[in-house]
Amino acid sequence: MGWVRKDSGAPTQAPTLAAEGCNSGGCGGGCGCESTGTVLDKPVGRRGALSMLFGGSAAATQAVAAQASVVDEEDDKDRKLLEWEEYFKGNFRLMTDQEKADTIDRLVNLTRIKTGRHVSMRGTPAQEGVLYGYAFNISKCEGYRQCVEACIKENNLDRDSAMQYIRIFEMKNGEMDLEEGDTEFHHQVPAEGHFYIGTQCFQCADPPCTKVCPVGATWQEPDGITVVDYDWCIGCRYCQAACPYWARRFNWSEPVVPADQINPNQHYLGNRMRQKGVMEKCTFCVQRSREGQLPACAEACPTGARIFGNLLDPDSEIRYVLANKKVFRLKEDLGTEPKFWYFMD
Amino acid sequence: MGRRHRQQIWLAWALCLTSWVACGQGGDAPPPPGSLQTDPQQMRALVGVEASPVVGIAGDFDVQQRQHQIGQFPCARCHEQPQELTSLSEANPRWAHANIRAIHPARGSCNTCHNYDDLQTLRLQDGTTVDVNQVYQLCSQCHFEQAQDWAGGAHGKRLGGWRGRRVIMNCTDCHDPHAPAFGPEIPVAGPRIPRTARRH
Repeated sequence: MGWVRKDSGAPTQAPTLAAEGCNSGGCGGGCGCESTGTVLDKPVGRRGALSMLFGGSAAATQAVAAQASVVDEEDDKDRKLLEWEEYFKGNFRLMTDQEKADTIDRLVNLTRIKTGRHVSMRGTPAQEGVLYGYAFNISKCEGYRQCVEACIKENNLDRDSAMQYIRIFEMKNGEMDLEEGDTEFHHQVPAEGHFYIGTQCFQCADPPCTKVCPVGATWQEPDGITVVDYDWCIGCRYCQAACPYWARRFNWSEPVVPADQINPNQHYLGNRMRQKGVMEKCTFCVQRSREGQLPACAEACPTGARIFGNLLDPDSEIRYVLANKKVFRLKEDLGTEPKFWYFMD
Repeated sequence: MGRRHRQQIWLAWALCLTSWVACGQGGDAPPPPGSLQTDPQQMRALVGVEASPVVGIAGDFDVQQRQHQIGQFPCARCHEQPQELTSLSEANPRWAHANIRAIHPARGSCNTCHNYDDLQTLRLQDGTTVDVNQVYQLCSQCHFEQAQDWAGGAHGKRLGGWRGRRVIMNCTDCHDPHAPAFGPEIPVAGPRIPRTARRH
């Protein structure tokens, strides 16, 4: 899509699309077939006309409004305008604070129109001096999957496809190859002679997924969380191919969450409502962790198998684990430097 | 000296004074990460649980209290006199405490933990009395490895969040003291993975 000139002095009234002097009917004006036309009786060149059509969002929305049918419901008209403006926004990383606030505002309104729910969405940035780390105690995990349930509820995961960021493997005692594990167990746990180990996005310090994105829709934030701008993602799934841990999830269909189960505490880079055709993954509950709370999985675990904290705080629990317990990571030889460690009692 | 010169000197002093005052009123430096709230009282109010600083174990953190969570506390309401606790089935045909399935410790008696002279309190192996709020002192006598991990953060659960003053759960917040092991459960449903040639 490229850059969009946000405010180039576009007129606040709707431009008439038929520029004088440009009489090839099909192209809607400003196509450059004439070197100049006029808009609102002001002479404007080809570039200026294009800019007015697509650049000034006020002008653009007016143009759309002019085309909307008068018999549309108010909500439907609002939705069209909001979706139009959303379509032309830029990458979240390049937005000014005002643009971020505007897009969040539009998304909150769109969620209200589509689902009837009033949600509160934040764009809380990374806090300085914070780098999130996670530890998983394989002696304590009993395979209850209460972390999975909490994650689904917290992150508004698609119920239709039973999408789950967290994957719990049931492994035979002594087995260390996760490909031999069973993720689809459904019997009383813990099963005799087995142990349980869970994976999710490890927020690698040297992530392969962010390197392969062709459009820059996924990146790692300063506090160590790898995030996705769902509106910038084109759904090519290169990141899913690059991830050695199968942490990434793709929306093959429009995700469905019953309106009464939507978690209204949302973050733009986290658990807001996604759409068909975009990638998503565990974000260490960015909507919670940036407000000082534990991720839903860590809070839900009844056996205390999950430890979360700030790696840069020497007094944190995660630092105690790294200093005092035997820790290991998965696929250490790949050099991804995951910020997710496993340990035993 | 000229008037202009005097004015310049006045201005310079005024600027110095203003900036000195402004810097002084700059407010506190942001708290270092991990210590959003360092006052224990305020932190406890924030977390919403009754907790008190740990005693008898090295560390600087708060532990959730137990007294208000035990339904029939204070025990002295019924157990006014010193009393020898015997097996539940023999000595207590009534319904009180009938829900207790006492299998822990395997080699011990009720007297291992309970103080027969004051049933509201617990006793350590050397006879010292501890309050139920400090039950961790009792458990850590035998389970010293777990206690060390619990104090450090590798065992147990934290309340309130990952930053600020550390408030953690007491031992018996998770473990039934009479049957502490976690039991078997039916797990939450797993993922629905579409069938392909390869199992994921």
